[in-house]
Amino acid sequence: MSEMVATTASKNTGFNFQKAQMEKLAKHLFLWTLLMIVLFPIIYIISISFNASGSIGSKLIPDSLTLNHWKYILGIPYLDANGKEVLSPFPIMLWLWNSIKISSVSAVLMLLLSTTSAYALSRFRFRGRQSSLLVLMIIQMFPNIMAMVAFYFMLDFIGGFIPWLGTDSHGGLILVYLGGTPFNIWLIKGYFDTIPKSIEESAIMDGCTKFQAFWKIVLPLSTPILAVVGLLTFINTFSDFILPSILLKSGDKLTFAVGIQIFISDAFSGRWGPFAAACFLGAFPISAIFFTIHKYIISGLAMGGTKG
Amino acid sequence: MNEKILKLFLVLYVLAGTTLGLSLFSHGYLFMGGVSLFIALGSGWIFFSKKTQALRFMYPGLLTFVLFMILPILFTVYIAFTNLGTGHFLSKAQVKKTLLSEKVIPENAVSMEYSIYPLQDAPSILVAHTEEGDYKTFLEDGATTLALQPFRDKLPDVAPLSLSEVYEMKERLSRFDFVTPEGKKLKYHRTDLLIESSYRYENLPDGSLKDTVTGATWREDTEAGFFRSGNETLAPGFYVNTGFKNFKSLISDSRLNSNFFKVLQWTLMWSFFSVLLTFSFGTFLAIVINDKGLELKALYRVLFIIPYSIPFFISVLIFKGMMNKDFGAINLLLVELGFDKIPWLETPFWAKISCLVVNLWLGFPYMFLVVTGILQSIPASLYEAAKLDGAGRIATFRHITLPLIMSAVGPLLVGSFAFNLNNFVGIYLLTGGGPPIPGATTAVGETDILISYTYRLAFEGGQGQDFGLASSIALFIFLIVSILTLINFKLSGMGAETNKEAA
Repeated sequence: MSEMVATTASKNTGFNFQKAQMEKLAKHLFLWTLLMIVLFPIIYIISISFNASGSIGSKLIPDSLTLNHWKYILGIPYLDANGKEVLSPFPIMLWLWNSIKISSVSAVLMLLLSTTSAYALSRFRFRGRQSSLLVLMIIQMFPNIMAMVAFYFMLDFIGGFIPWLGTDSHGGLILVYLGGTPFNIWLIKGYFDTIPKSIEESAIMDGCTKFQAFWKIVLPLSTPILAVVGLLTFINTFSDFILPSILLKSGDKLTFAVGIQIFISDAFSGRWGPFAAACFLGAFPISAIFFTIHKYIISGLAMGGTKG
Repeated sequence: MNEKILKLFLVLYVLAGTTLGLSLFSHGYLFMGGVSLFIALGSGWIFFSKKTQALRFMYPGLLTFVLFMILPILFTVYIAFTNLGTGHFLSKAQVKKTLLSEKVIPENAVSMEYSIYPLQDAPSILVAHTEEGDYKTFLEDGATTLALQPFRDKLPDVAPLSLSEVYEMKERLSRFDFVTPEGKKLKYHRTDLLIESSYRYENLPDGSLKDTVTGATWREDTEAGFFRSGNETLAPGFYVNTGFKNFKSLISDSRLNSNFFKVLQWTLMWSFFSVLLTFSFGTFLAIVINDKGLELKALYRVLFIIPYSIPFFISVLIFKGMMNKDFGAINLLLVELGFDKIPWLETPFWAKISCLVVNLWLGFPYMFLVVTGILQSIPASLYEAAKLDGAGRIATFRHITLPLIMSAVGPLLVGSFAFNLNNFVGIYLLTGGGPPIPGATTAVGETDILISYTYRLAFEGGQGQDFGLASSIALFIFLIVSILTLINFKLSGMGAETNKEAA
């Protein structure tokens, strides 16, 4: 629309041209104001993380700067205002590490599990294929947290036999996440469909088994989608709150999401500075991953998925 | 070579699964045993039959999907029809076992400290010490009563078992009655103490329990899940199938239903307004920025989606601090600008507004990106034609841009509605569901949505945990999501698409 305005303007008088320029300026002004509001919480939290007073009511522009909040969350001892040595009693870095570990393992296992299924749905013609596709499509609408009570009792039961897959274990939590294959199977199958079959067929003619064709030809050709699905699983697992909060109990096993929520909920005003630093530390890598794959996330979301 | 290793591994896998299934069966877990057996034998068939190549590829993803998606959903349905929760955690068999092992210790009970000495070629010897002298007995498996005989010899020339070693044979020791020469019956009490005691309850043939202290008979009440005698019940209770009781009480119990409907209503309103707000603002922004003459377009597009790139739990917690009534940054700013403080998270009205505002911040970038994508795909020729016809800006928007956006976003809006329906983090981390509804009999607040209500009933536990009721609420969510899925199928014609694609 504005393009039309611009072309009309150039054809007409200088007065109209000026009007168009003014309009553009107003638009920029408006967008920057909006950006200030939208990005305020982020700028504010970064400022707080370096603010020497660092309490919940601190001003946006700090009077003096400090690295103490960062030292606190990184587990480095520092001297406080009274010259006393302070070392955080909270294993914040351990929580972050737990989250990274659980998310990475989930992502890798998720890829192993969903690529083979996607391959079957893309390349084989078998009875029940059509209904499998339909079931996968329907089920991926239902978030697994609806069954949270069931997960708790299932892991409790499994834990009676295999403790490292029970409640309060990272193995158990990962196991629960692996139920979320349908959405990823759909994404990967869509990509497999675009790879011409002729490449594998000639390999099979040369004596390759189906599995070798899949492993040595189709998978290497699908690296982009595998990266996207892996990183997406990583982000979603990292961002999950409800399942780890139900399934994990010990303080040293918590994920970053649950740990940081307990950390800040106990004392909002007193821990605001370290909390701000922790937020930045947790958010930055995820944000970076997001921006590397955001085009794919959008097209994936367009297929009906959700971001957790 | 590799094939052989793989086959060996598979055989072991099937055997392990079968063994697990059978052992679950023998422990009385019929359902779980059945599932394990089915999986183990099914796997065997899939990997060794010649006709199942496709299934072999489907297998890994399908297995976890069934185990950790389908099975939990079925299990949730099952729990929704029980009274599983505080006071009813165990099965009837487990409760009975607990009660039958309950002991009564009479006043002035005889007790003896003891040690156990392992012997070679003979059962271990237990030596009990009293002030009058020592007693011994051999721990003969199979016996139920062991006579304690006076013991005046030298102690065996081996070290006695440590307390933790004794603890490991606790089950075995508990089976014995140790009888003194005076005829007193002693039982295992601690890892170093035997005490005169008897079991409190006796198992009657009809499944009831006879109380040896009061003489009462406790009968199974399979409707309430207790052993009952008259009006009294024994703790702990057991879980039983209660039919539609959970659903009935949600809908018609006057103490529960008004809160449940309140939560249901707010859940739908919250999802609706979240979609409406994020979509309107996202679309508006997309249209403003999608202007060919505008500079810095790419920069704006990156900056405006930053909120979406941050994990929601982090943003929501930041907002919780910023919305603090007394110290939060937002209120401090308002005061500086000459306004009054707003009780963001404290009153029902403002708490709801806060949730929606925060969710607008979290969610608009997604709509912004989606609509930008749609706008970029609208051919410029359409606008040129409109211009030739003399359409103004507003007319072009109303008759070209908006209809084209709406025709493309239908399924996305439904998907977004479904997502917000279960947007636990957006509610729970901000308000914790609060402020509390006055007079409610369960943990429930003004901003609770169905999923956070489920969570609080099951896991918050301030007023006891009610897994049965929580699961029945989860089934309501299930119902709503099913309806949304159906709508989405109609809107997008996905069903038809999979059919066409599969043909």
